[in-house]
Amino acid sequence: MGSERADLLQGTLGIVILKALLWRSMHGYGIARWVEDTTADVLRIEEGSLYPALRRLEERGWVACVWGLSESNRRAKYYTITPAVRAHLRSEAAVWLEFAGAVGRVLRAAPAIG
Amino acid sequence: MPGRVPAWRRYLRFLRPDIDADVDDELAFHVEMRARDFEARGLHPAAAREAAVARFGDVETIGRWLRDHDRRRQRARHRRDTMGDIARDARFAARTLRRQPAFALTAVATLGLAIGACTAIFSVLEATLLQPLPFRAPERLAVLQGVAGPERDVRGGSVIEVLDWGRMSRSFEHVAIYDETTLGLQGDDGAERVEAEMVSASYFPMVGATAQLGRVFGPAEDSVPDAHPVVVISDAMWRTRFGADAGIVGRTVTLNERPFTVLGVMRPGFQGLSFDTDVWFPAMMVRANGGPSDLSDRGNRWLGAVGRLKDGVTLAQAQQDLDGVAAQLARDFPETNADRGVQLLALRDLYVGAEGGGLDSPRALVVALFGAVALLLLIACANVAGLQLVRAAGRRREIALRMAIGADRARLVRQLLTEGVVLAAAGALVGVFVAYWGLQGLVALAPDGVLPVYARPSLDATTFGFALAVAVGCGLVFGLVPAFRASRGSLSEALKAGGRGSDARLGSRRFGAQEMLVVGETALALVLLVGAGLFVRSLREQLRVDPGFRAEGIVRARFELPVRYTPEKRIPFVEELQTRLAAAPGVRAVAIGSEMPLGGYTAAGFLHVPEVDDRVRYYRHIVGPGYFSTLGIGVTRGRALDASDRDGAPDAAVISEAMAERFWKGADPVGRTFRLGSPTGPEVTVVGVVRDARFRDLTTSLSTTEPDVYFSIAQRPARGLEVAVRSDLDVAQVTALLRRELGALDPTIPLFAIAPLEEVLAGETAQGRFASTILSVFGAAALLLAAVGLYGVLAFLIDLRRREIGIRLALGATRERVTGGVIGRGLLLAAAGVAVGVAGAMGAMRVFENQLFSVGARDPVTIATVALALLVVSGLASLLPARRAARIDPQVALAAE
Repeated sequence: MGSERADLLQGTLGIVILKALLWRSMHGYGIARWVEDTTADVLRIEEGSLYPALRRLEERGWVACVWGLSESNRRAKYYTITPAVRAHLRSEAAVWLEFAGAVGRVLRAAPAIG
Repeated sequence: MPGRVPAWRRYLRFLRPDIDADVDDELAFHVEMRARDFEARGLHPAAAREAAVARFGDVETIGRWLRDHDRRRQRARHRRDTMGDIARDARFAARTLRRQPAFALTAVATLGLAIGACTAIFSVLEATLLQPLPFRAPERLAVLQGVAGPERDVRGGSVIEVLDWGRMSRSFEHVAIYDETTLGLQGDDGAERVEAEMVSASYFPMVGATAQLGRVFGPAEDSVPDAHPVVVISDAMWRTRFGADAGIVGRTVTLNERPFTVLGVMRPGFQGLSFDTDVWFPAMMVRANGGPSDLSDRGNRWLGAVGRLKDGVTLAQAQQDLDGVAAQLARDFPETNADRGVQLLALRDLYVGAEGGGLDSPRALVVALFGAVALLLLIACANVAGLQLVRAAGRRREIALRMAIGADRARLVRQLLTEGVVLAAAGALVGVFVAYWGLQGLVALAPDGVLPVYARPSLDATTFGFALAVAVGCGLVFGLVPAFRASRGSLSEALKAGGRGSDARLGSRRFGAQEMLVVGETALALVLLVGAGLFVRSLREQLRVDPGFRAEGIVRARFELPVRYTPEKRIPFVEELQTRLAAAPGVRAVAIGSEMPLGGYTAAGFLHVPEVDDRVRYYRHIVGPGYFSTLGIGVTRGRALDASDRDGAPDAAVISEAMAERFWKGADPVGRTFRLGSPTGPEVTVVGVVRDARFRDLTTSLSTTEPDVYFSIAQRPARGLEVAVRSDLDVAQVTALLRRELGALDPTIPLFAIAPLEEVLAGETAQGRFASTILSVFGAAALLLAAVGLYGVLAFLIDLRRREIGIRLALGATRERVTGGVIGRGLLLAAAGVAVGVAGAMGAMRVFENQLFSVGARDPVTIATVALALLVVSGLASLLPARRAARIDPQVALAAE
């Protein structure tokens, strides 16, 4: 994976995590796998930065965590998105998509990139 | 690679979250899941693990970051919780106090008064002893004093001697000549006296004083005597007397009838080491202020010096150095310097007195007051702690129950501590107001000179800090006392019927906690009262001293005849002045002399009495006709000096009784002779003996110090004079009269130091009175608190043992026995307190040995009187509870509970 792609991902790591958690509560590894699966392995989260990012989200009160048992009966920490953030996330995502769409249009406009 | 958490740590997780283990678990889980993933894709387990770790990134660093982060958050949460708990405890404590207003008011009032008094006295202590003096690095400044003899009497140094000290010693950066004096300032609108300091040039940089206009003295001004008649004036004088004239530098002012040029104006706020100086003139101009014509005369001594110690040199080291210098000078100049030394004082000691200083030392006074008020505070705390114990006894059941069902003991103690602190905080709040008003009163009551000039006590940050610290300290004590008692003892005992247990019985020999407090209070009260008693007795002894003159109705004033009044001119001037004053209506008698008693100005000299081999240092007084009769100094033998003792007649002198006793014992000294200065000096005949009159102070022994010898003004006309007028007029009228008559003779002569002699006499005992008053107030307060404390304990005990007393009464004990038992208990407590207190007083009062006049620090009469008073008061305090006990109705007591 190119390093440019990795940098893009850092800035939006928070939003990506929140989107992942929108599906269901997951542990840290689960989030990493979800992102890989959803982007067909194009994006790989730098796993080191995942956990600090989760802590920061927790500090802001956007995610909550609780210890539970994984599918394989191991002790794991599960993260849940808080209700207040769900709504916030929708608007944030909309903004991002609009931006991404606009960027895409710019790049696809004539003259085409060789 | 974070390892597995050992099993035993897992179980601890029930008690509190284990940060490290949790972080390790979380990361380990992630890596393991990733490794499983790789295994599922076909990798060998070991390789899978390696790949997983590599894929993760820097596990160690991430782990550390997470652990730090989590720990910090946990600490913050813990802090918030504790703060919340404490806030809740404080609110609860406040509610509890509101529900018991009697206790709360008593405790807060007691504490408020005690903390307030303590804070007020502390601010005086701070302003006097702790606050740095307003000079550059004041700890490095020291005062040099010339001393003589084994007693190290302060005599001063001569000009050349002081310069030698500076030159020959190695411990100082600089030594500057320093002398506090006054000058006559002549202007168009008349003449006045101004406070002045005579200094060398190095004085100004030494104390960090700079000029705002012009400059201060430089090396040129120190070079040649009489060559540079320049002065530097204070900002205050520049503004008030010269209207802040911008062209002041270079102007001429007339001082002591000589022209001086103003060299500069000092920065605002600087008024010299004496804190009231307006004019500084160079030491080399000493002859303009009555200095000796021969500046190299080593024997003409009166000067002092101020020096700045070199970095790293201690006062003790510098003193040793100066002792060496003095020894060298004694070797070089044996006639003048034998038995002479130099004494070094820290600058502050100049103002407040040295450690262990003598009577009226401001340092000792402030320390005594602070010690007394500290004792008072302890007594007040003991009282409140006792009250707390009573309250706690009432809650013993509640607390024991709470502990039995598992309440955190630490939490409980913290709650009780918080209660104590809340109580103390309320007391401190009241105390601040008490301190404010108390300080105003104290400063108003304090006579001039009791506190050094620079001391301006105020409620500043340091004082508030002190009050806060005291409050917190007290609060912890109040909180801990019941906390300890409540958390001891068994649950079953606490739950027993009655439930307000105390391990004190009226008949037992052991003292319960409250009783111990009362014993302590009584001991402290005794120490305080003994201290107050000693100071009161010292004052009384001072008041009993016969001053040797009659001060009623006399007003005295000082003036100085200008230099142009040669001796021949002085006598007619003085005679004329005396005649005119005596003729004024309302005036009964007039006296003129070199000084009046207790004036503080006395010249000294040496004489030789044939009967005694050694030369004698004496105090010389010049007196005019009618001096002794005006002042009421009785003549016991021979006659007073009168008009017949004029120029040309044989040299006559009148001596004091002390002198007659010392040299001629029983024989009549009238007609005997002695010589002035040396065995071959002028011969003087004794014409009379007068009663001892006090010139220096009231307390110095007259039989062992310099005797007083009086000469006729017609034979030795002095320039510095004082006039005393005995009349029926008030001070203002006499002042006007004096100014008028003196002005009529010579309007250029200013009159100063005008005061009624009674006031001057009272001023001698002013500090003693101040100290005694305040200490007596504290003593009375301590007595009251101790009595109240005793009353409280006995009342509580009786209440507790109501049933037991009822039983005893029912079984036939007489009411008298019950009363006697209570009073006996009270007296036992008091006696124990007195015993401890006497031991304490014997030890503690030694500190004030030097501050007491004519009464020893362990004076048995004082101690016995105070002990008796305490016992009597304690007996009285026991009466009320005793009578209550006797009135217990057995049936009512047995029926209750």
